[in-house]
Amino acid sequence: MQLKKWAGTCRNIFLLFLPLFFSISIGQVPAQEVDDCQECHGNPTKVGKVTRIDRETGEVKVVSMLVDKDAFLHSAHGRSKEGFTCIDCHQDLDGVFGEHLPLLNPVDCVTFCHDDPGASYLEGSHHKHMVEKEKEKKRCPPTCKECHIGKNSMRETPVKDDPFHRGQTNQMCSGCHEEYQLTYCTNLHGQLSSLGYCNTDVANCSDCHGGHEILKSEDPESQVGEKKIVETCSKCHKGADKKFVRHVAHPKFKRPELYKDVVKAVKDRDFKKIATNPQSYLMLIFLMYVGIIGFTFTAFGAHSLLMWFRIIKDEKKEEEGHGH
Amino acid sequence: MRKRKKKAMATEEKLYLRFSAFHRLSHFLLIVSFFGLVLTGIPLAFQGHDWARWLYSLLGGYPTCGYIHRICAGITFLCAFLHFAYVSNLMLWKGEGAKILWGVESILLQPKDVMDILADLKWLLGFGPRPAFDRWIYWEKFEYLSLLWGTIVMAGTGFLLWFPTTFSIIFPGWVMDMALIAHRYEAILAAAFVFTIHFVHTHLLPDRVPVDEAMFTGRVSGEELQHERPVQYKRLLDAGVLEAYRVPPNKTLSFISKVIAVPLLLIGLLLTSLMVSSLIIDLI
Repeated sequence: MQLKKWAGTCRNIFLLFLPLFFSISIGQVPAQEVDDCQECHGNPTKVGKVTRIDRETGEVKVVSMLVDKDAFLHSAHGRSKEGFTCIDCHQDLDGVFGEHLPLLNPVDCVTFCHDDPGASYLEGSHHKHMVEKEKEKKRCPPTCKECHIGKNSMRETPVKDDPFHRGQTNQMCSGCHEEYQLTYCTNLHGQLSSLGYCNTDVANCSDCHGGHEILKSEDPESQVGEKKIVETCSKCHKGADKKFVRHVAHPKFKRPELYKDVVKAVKDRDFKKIATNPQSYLMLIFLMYVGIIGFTFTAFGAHSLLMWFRIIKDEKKEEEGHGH
Repeated sequence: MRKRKKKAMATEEKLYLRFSAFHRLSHFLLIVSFFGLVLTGIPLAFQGHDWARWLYSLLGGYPTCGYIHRICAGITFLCAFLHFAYVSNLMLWKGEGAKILWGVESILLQPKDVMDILADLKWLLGFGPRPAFDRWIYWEKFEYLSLLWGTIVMAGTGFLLWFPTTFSIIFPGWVMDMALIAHRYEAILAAAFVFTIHFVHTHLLPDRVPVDEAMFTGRVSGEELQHERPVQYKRLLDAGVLEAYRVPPNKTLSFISKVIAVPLLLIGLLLTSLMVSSLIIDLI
């Protein structure tokens, strides 16, 4: 046992110094092409599956180390004219040949390349809020990868105008903001995107709330804040004005929270709060229709059923009458 | 009573004109536009369900469904316009205003309808004979009035949603959201009402199933008229004008009406069952 452990440590030390050895022995490092990595990462017999622990949930996942070259070549990085290779992102493997250590450093998207959206993302209150949550050990702030991830996002850029990606964005957001997704779907924008139509003329989450720099809705500087909302709406609705933007993008009439709020306001005798909130009017008209629909179908449904049976009964009676 | 029909057929049934060509044309246009509107609109209200996605993409998805919806709305407006032109012609030029607004020929609610409702309830609960109705039975009047009301609501809210930025000159944005809710639930109400209550009352009663052709051929047999609307029958007979309404049978029209109406009935019933099951799933 002891021997085996030693052997493992020796191997690891050997591997750690292997690149140094190569760089000394060869003198200069040839550029590592995608194909070099693919020798192992494209061959199922050479790389298998490894276990990963999710930073977020602590869930243990089994992840395949195989890389689909075709998918990479179709992705934004693969299609780029700059000809990115694996080590451009996995920089800790620069100059490493052959087998390398598991558990590479997380890829840093921001520092050297994507500092433009990166900086605005890191400054946005969405990220700040998440950092606070992290302190409470509730949730880590999402990294670039958390949104720009997966088989689906690898294909067919540009992301912003692609209907598929736009639909994916909604799903990404609703992973955390479920109640907002539900209320969004009671609205016309959400109805259409929920039916699978996420073209650029159907607003998705980021069309209104922004992509990288997401500020709180109450913040006047945010895309849906006082200062910018007219501009945001008029991206699609030409001629949108101050009155138009008082639209309720997330109608809550099907959510219990609204009813609780209203009951609380009634208890506090805060009728002004109810009267100034457009949600109350939406709730009112919804409840009115629930009442109308309920009444109509109870009354007329009962009438239809009774009539059905009565006619059959009358028919029978008539037949009996004829029989006599 | 299917037997009654057969018997009448055998003894050369007498047919009377119940609906004029104008009424039939209006009803036909209404069917076309209503189905177009419902099929392209209802998926939006049930967006979370797979059948809605399937139906919406079947009809062309976004924005095609929107165009179909607006064209059908146009046909509905045409219907409404024709109807009001017809009524105003009768009232203003033919001087039949009093007849339309009051009396046995009127489709508006009359004092007699209160008595009819009571007599009908008595019959339904088994305490009395089938009530003697006149030309318009009270539930037909309700249907007509709810169609009027529904068209006004749907047209009004529909226009608000069609041109939101234009109407926001007058109304704040949340009025458009109210319009959306009213439009959605009025649509569900109207669709479910037509596909269940209207279908049952006119087509699917045991003595009529599958189709009551009166609204398509305009013809109703003397037997049926006597059985269903004895007051009208007797009134026409006493006045000696019944024979003036007599028309020859039209087999082609009758066949066409069956071919068109049966699939529409099935589509309507299927859609209602989908809506009801989705509602139950959502509530669970």
